[in-house]
Amino acid sequence: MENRNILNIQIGLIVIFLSFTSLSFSQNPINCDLKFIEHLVKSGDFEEALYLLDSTDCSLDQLSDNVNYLRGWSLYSLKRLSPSSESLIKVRPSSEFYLKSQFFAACNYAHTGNYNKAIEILSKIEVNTEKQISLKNYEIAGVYLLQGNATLYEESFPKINRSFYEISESFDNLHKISENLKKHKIKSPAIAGILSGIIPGSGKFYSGKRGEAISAFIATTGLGLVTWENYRKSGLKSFKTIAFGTAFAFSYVANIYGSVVTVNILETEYSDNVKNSILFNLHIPLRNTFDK
Amino acid sequence: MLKTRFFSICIFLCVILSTNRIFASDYYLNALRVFSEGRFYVASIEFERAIFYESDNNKIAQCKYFKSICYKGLGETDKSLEELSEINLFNLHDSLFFLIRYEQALGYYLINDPNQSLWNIEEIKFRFSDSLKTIDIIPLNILCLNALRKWEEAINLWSFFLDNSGLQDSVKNDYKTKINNLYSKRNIPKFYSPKKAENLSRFIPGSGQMYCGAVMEGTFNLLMNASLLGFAFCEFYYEYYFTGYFAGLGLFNKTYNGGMHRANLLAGGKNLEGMNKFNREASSLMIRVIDSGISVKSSLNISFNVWQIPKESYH
Repeated sequence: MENRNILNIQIGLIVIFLSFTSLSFSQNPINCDLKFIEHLVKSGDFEEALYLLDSTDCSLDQLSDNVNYLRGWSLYSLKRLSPSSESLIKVRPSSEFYLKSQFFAACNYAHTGNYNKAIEILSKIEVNTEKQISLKNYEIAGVYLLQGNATLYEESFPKINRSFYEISESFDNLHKISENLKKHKIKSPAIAGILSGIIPGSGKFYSGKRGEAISAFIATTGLGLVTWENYRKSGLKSFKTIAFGTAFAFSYVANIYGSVVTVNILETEYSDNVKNSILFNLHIPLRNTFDK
Repeated sequence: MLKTRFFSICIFLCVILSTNRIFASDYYLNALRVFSEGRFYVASIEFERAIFYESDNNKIAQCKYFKSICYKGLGETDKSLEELSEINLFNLHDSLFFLIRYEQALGYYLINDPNQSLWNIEEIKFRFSDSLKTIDIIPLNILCLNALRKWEEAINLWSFFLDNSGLQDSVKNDYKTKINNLYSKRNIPKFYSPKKAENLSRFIPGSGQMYCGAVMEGTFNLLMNASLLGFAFCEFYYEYYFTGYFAGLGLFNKTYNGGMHRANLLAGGKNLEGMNKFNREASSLMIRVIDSGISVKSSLNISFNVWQIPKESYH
């Protein structure tokens, strides 16, 4: 009986000891607290999440996919796209975040102008369902359109199944953008300059800036009339004629230069708008698919 | 043997279920340690961790309060206020409620919203009907009333503050004289209406600037506008119509509208400058009263010392 009581006490003490030690091994409050880091990412505290990922010991092998995904997603949310891609592509196929990471990594590369890398990543993604295949082909087609490769874009089109609601609207938008690109006529800076030389402000009107055209016309014409009036009444050698004449000449030349520069800026603005529209329409299906 | 197994399982489950409480307090103590070292950014993360693992409302409120202090230490007053606004004030301990409301009042004053600051002060007064406790908030209350130009109320509060400062009568009377001088009509910052300044400049260019006290600038503006108008009329008189219209009246239009806008901005700037100067004088007088008055000083120290959260609110 006494031996049995001693045995019971010993078993109880061992159980208590094992309980406390196993818990302290399994959950260290200072090192890699992934549960808390996930909470920070969900709450939108990305800087704080990155700080913990970088400063704590989160490099254990079984955690590396989660760590890479959380780091990549935090960097993406903070618009640091290049380092985000580098983290996201490290996520392995066995992870639950694999597909999301690969697609967003490719999208980030497309945003930063690295189109070849984006296509390389998209081509290597292991997809299984029809929706995933359509999404992959849609993203590849969009990157070809960004590159300006109309042939490959047209070839990719039939492979996309637009019946999936996540893709359908963006698909139609992308198609409209490609049609507009075909119809777009490039404006000539030389023609803008010549027009401004003939009628001040008309070059800006040709480039589509109507408000600027009117104000340039009024300012240049006004100075011209003032100069002519002073020349007519006071002669060429009058100080007022010379002063207003100089101002008019300066305004006239600046107007021509401004028209030429405006057309160049216009073309740059147009290509930037097209690029941003394509990137936006590449982004939306990914958010619809993975951020439900 | 069956009894042994049963008790072993019970012990094991008790340990498991109590770990959250153990770790939550560990995180809180760790966060306090980091906070005491002045590492506010890391401390804010550790307090957030303590909040994540904690389930008790009072303790969560405490952690959020400290987190807001961390943000204040980092100069992020907006984030500090946001954190304080998320605290559930239901059933909180009195001392913690006071600290939270006081920080909110201070935060709103710092972001130039004295109305919202006063609202938080009223909340404190409502909860603590015992007036001795509300002595702690009087300095901030006075600053807010000054910002809203409520001079009479501010003077009344000053009197109450002095009466409860524990100072000798002679010293008290001396301070009362200084306060009366501070709030005298010639010392109170004059209010310049931006609309009035703009309208004055509309009728007589430069008069709006003179109304705001910038006499030289107003005179220069008046002369410039008069010269341009005179130039335009002169050109019209000598039949230089285009010159008079484009050069004369065109430039006059720019300087006339610019002068009105400038008068409006100048009035706003002068108001802010005057109020800042007045509040600096009021603050330095307040600090002298606090330093001299023992009972006020000890009361304020308890409230302003962030470490002095009563232990019963934690255990």
